[in-house]
Amino acid sequence: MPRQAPSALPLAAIVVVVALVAGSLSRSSQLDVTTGLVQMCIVIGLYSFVGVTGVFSFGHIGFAAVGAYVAGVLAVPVTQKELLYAELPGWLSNVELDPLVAVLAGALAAGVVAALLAPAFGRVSGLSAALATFAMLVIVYVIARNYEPLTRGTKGMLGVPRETTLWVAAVWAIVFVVVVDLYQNSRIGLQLRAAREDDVAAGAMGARVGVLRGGALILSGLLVGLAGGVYGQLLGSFNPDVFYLDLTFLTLAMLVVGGINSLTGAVIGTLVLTFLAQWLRDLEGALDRPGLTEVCFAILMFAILVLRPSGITGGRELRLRLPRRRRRQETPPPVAEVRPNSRT
Amino acid sequence: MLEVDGLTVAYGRVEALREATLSVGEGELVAVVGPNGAGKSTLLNTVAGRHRPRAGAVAFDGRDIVGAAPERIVGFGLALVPEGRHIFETLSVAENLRLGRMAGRGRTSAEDVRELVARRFPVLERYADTPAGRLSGGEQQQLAIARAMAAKPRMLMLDEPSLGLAPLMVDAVFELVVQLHAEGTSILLVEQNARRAVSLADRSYVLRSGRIVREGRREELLEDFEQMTSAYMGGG
Repeated sequence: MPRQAPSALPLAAIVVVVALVAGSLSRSSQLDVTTGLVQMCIVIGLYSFVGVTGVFSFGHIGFAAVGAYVAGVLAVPVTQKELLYAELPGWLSNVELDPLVAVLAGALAAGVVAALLAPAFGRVSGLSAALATFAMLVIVYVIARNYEPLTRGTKGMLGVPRETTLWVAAVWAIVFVVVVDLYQNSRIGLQLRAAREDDVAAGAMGARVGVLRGGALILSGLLVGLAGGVYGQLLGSFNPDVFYLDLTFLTLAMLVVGGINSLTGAVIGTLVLTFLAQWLRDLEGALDRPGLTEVCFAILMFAILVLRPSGITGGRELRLRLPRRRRRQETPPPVAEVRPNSRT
Repeated sequence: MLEVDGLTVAYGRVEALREATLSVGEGELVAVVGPNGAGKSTLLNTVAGRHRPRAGAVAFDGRDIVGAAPERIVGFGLALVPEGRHIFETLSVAENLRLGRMAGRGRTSAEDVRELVARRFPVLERYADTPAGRLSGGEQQQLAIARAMAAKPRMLMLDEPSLGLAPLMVDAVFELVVQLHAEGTSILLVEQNARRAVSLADRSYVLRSGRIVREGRREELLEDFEQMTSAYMGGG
């Protein structure tokens, strides 16, 4: 058996190329690409749960919200806190963390929220699990809207340092690609993907499916929380609606269009929809039809689900061919063709 | 090597297996044949730890394995290739084999598995990166057997390996069973394809309605078949 080449390399190369090209574009286009790369991090985090375990989630944007708010509050300069966050508890009003440290703290907070949910996820699966994640999203949203001392509610967060440049986003996207590729090809990742197919058979091969799924939720919570913090530091100001249904729909559409069962799908889906959004928004302006983008995405997602449920990538990974491999057969012959085992 | 004694398994009030007693010796190839619904799969699944018996004992290497979890039983060196194969279809052939090796808890190295595949499953070698679901039925069956063998079990249980395969592929799969047996793996083979299985096996058991109704060596049972055929055909 030839050794499998990692798919992280070609995917990271794609991210670098995208960032290089974007670097030569106008400021507004650069901002769109930066947003796309941050959303790619969210989609990869989502993939690390939905794609790897096969358990659907409508709630991971809740982790992004936790990450964004925690990272935001910790990084707002003390001078602005007096002005904007007067009701903040005393110990918090004197904290001003380095933006990067704040992002990591936000990820940790989202990971803790995921850890609270994890034991339940060992038991439920399918639609129940998807609804449970949605309930989590609603809870986070309601808290963000109403716990004003910390979040400023619907007035929104202000004064979050804008640290996420094009290259910061690109570096994070590469880190996400590498981490999730290592994870999905690890022993645990392989057992989870086997359980996605057939959890009885995977259990018989030694996978403790419930425990592993809980662990997958925590890891994905950390990742999406981290991406949320990075997103917050791109926006600088945001309100709870930023991390609610629109973003949930957009990130799910990106994953489904790209291909829910592969990391390559998460990357490609994000890029395709980001560029499509650019083009549709111009069209929207020209035709004076606001909302056209969302409708087109919904139709696209619907079409993919009906016509090609495994997405653009068909669940396959982009791989470099290892040089020592000589023979290569891309497709096995059709089922009807019979090739007897060679005799020895 | 495997001793099953008075095994009774029930689904609710229906007894699928009644006081089945059988044994498989070291290096032996034993077949269990019988019609659909006779309890063949129930027997294998219970031995493999997927069902709890109502009564009876199962010992592997003298160790009582009733009630042990399936993955522990695989760990002891007793592997099941279930009916319907249960390969992981979106995972590549190589990943399926890696999972099989992991079930052996370090008994085999990646190199051992590579060597096993090159020697016994050359068809699979070519498709290492191909999703297993895209292989033909016969290739999938070979993969299921290879995955079980990747844990280097001392005994292999095969549940209807010929089910739903083209005739040529049935030949290939049975030949594989013979090869694995010749290399010293003990095998318990369950088949509906009775004559074929009996003629391969050292000994066979006939299971009907959950009971073992006949046990015999190859020659004895083949003679049974002759008599049955002549009885049905009315010839001499």
